[in-house]
Amino acid sequence: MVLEATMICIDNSEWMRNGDYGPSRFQAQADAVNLICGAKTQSNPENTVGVLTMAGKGVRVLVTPTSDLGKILACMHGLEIGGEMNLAAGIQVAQLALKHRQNKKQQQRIIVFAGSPVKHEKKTLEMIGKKLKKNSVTLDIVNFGEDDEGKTEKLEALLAAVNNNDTSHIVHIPAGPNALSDVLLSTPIFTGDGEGGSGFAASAAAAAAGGISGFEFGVDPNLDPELALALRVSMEEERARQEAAAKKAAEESSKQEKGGEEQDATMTERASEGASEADNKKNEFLALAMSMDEPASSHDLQDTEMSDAATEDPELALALQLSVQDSAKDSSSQADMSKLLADQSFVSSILASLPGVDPNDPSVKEVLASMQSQSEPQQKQDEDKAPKEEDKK
Amino acid sequence: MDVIKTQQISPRPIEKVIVHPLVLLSIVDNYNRVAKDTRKRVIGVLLGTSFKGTVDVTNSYAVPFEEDEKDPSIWFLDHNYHESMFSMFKRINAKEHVVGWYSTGPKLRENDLDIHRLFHNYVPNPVLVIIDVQPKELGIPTKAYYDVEEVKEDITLVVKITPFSPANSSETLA
Repeated sequence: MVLEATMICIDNSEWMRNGDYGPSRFQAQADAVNLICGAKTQSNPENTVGVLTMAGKGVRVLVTPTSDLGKILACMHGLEIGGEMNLAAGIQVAQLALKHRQNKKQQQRIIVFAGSPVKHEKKTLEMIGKKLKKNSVTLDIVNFGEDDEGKTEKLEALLAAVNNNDTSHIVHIPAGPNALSDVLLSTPIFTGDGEGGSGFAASAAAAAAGGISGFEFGVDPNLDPELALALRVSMEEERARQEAAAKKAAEESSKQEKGGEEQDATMTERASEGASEADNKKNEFLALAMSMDEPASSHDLQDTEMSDAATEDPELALALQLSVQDSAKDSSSQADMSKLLADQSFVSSILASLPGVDPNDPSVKEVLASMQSQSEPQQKQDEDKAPKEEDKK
Repeated sequence: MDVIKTQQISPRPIEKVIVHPLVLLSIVDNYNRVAKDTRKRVIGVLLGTSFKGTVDVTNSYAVPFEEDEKDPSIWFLDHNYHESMFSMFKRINAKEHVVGWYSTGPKLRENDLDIHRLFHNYVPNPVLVIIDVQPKELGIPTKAYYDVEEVKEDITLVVKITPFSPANSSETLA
């Protein structure tokens, strides 16, 4: 909980209109500034933060270091973009502003957002850095936006001139899907000089991590644990099925064209897409059961069943269609699979483990019954089909 | 309130600036305590009233001000301090408005025009008064300036600070 007076230097030059970060570079910057102000004031109530703009008509101090967060947020409104950033002047004015801080015991810190090209010489920046070091001012540089020749070097040189015991930092943030403020959360700018992220930063980081981008399935486990669980289980089942399918395909590849394998994969893909919601969990399982049970039936059989199924579930119809295209399959492995599925206890155990699927549900019971009844004639059918297929071939 | 509004709508060109003695005393006192033997200058805000082209400067206070000696374009004036201070002064005398600002000079400096522009946010036509805190000769130690916008031959807009003619700036003695 370092007692600090911070001046934030914002870049509001023309380069900030670019939209490669967030809604626009300027917006991303504004969000980051809000976050920093909040974090600083929360970590120590006596901390003060001030803001100044570096571009436009000239360096302009918007608010002198104050602990009033409302004032800081208010002054961020109505800022205009334009002109060129004057980095040297900005840092120097920030230093002057810090000189006039009310509590002389506060540590002086400047945070610079360098988004546009730096037109100053390396020497100038180094001299400024030395002056800052002499006045024991620490500097944090956020390098984002434009990346022209020499900018990174100049900023690194500036940092090296200022740095004293590793209290100053520089972070390079490339354009990407993550928001500027989210990336900043994990940097030493937020986590402080080894003091560890205060409660604010830690909770903000957790919220950001659980947020939309970058999270599996796009669902926050805190918001909807059941949905997240259902999705995870479905994913695992899908993986297991794909492995089984892959094994089968490997066996068949010697007998069948590669097209079958691909179709298998696409079928599982499409089935998994459709089953991304917990509601379709049942349908997926049904599709699995159906597709496994009816792999090598004759066309006539399939047509009638397809027409039945098509009325109920279009995905089911699709799955059936694809399985029809798999003309010759290894019946023995199929029989194993279907035997497994026909095993009532196994099936019910799977069903029980699925959230949202109640084994006592009448429709599920129906499927089980139909599967059981099918498993017996299935074996007969398989035996019949085997000679049939050989005839066809 | 009405007086202010008419002032803001049509700022009458200022012809006369009257500086009251309290202002001079507080400025010199502040200078002596803060920047006596240095080359630094003290800057502050002038409060008063303006009526029919005559500005009466009745009160003043200094504001935190820093400038870089080597680079005149680097300067910092704490305008939050000024806003808080002015709101407190307003409570004791609502008739006193911001009329301009002062500098201990002793002469005009390059960034004076920028600082003057800052004061345009608070008053439509601010007045700059340079107080000479260490006068060498007898006479009126104040010089008042205001800014004009001129369009030059090549159609550029230029803002200049020009003095009031000496006859028109006066000082009342207690």
